[in-house]
Amino acid sequence: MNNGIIKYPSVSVVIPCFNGEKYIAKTINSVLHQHYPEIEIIIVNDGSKDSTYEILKSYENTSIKIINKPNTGVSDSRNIGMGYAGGAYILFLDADDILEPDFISKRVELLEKDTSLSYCTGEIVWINELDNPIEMPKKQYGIYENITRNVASFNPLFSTCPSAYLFRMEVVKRKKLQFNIRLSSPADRYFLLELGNEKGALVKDGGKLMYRINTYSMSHHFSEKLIFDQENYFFSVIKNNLVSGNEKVIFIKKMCYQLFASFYRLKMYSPSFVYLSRYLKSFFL
Amino acid sequence: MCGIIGYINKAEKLSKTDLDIPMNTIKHRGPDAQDTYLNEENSLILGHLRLSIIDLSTSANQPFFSSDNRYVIIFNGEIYNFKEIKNDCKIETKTNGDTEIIIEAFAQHGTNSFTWLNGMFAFAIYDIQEQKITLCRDRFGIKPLFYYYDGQRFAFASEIKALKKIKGLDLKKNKDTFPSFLHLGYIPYPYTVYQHIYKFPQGAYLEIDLKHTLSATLEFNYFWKLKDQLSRHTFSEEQAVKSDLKNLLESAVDKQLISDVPIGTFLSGGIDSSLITVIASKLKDTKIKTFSVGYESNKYNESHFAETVAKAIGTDHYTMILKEDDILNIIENIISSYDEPYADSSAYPTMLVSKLAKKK
Repeated sequence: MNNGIIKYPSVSVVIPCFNGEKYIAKTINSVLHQHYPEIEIIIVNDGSKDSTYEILKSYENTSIKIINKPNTGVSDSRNIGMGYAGGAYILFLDADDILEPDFISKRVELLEKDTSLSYCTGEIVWINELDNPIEMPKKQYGIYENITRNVASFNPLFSTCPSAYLFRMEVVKRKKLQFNIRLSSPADRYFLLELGNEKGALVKDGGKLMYRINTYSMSHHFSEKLIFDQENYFFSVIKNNLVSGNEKVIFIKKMCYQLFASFYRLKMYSPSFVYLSRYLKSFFL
Repeated sequence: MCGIIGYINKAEKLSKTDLDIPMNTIKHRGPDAQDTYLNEENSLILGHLRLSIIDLSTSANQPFFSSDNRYVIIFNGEIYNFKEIKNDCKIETKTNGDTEIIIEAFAQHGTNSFTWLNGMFAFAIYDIQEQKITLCRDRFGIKPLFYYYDGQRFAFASEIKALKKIKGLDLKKNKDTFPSFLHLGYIPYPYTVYQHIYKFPQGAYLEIDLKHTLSATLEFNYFWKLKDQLSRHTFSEEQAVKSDLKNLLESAVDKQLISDVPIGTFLSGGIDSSLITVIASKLKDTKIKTFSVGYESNKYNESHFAETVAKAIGTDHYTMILKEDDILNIIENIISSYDEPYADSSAYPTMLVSKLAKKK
């Protein structure tokens, strides 16, 4: 493989994994089968109680580092994995997603050609538990421009799943980016808001991410815990001024409506009406 | 309870006996074993006094070295989840104690590992290769840790009285703290009654690089803050919240029952101590011991509440009725134990009931 790249800057792939015995081997293999040669894989075993450790043990070698730690959640695990990463680029890959073989090479190619780019993303294909593609109404991509606006407005055309993004390490370090350990499901949105409007690029052809939709995946299972996670996200974004101006108004409007509807669905009427009133108020902001 | 102490003085060559006298002042914290580690090159000395609670063997004595001999630790406290950490981090051990787990988890994961420790602790780890010492204290500051810093010399210990005996430290009373004492009845964090001696912050760690000259100010990093843990959420189901609270309480008490020596509780007969005693008693196969204090005057005596609870649960119960002389006899003892002014009369029954528990 050449793709116009003369040297191969190294790429760190951080994979947090909690009870991932079902898919972790497929995920690792998809990284091992990348066309790109310079890859270090860091797998953070987040206190798994299933056979994840035994599976990981069979992969351990010089290019795959396994970190075993108690269960502290996906954000903390990504941050810890990041601490071990020595690459010029970094990818936070979820333990059930699959990369197309040209996923990394296509992204590195764009990032190497234009050093003003901070990250690169591409197309996302949803797959089910059997790895079969799920029919989508429209093609979905990672956010490649106007991050803040697209994240704040929950633009459905774009996915915030970190597995789809390759970040330039120098930018991650310069901006001291970390995943917010108080958040689970919205931690990826928060991370992108912290990245702010850095310049990104899109791989238009190939280099896709196969994003797995699990029936029991937290982000698709409606619960009180998930709503509290969203509420924490709302508080943290506002408190840390990650959105401003018109984007802040849109964000407040969207979040308040979502929280109103979610609490209402769980028959938690008191907080539901609090967010309904905040939603109505947001029209006068 | 164990005792830890350390001293860094880059202007002097320290000797192994330099901490003998300071360590003698806190001998009561650890009568089972005592030892020091000296790094002459860096003028660093660490001392430990051990009271054995978990793994009573001598192989768990401290200062304790990591399996690769790169790190050395002195530790006071107890880590309730050390077996889980050992399992999750896949640590192979040569002892059955928690000290080894702290140092091996640190060797693998650095300061990230502090957030995983569930327990009460104060410890110092010296990285011999990087010549860096790291001190850490538990989330609520249960285990005591005081430090002295005057910009050139750094020392720390479980009790102030040990710092007072380190040769050459410049100790003066900090008169600025007197108004606070008169107002509150104690000297609030981070101050002590002495200049240059401070209480180590809770939920925090401090790294000191001995390769360079010590910095003018110390920079603490926090691995846990109470305010970050407070929930702003409204919970919907009362039953679910009650059940969560029950599970939390049971698991917290259960974790504290891990011990290779007998277990007991201080029982006043009030809601808090009764609840903890009931849970502990349910979780423990053997009969637990309970201790309470009463007064001769019926006006103040509440020991019958404790006796009622103890009888209902079926504990091995001991009551001590305080007399005026008992209080007078321990005044000096109290002054020496607290190390600095403390104006809360609860100190007396607490001290006496502790003595009773020690006897039994």
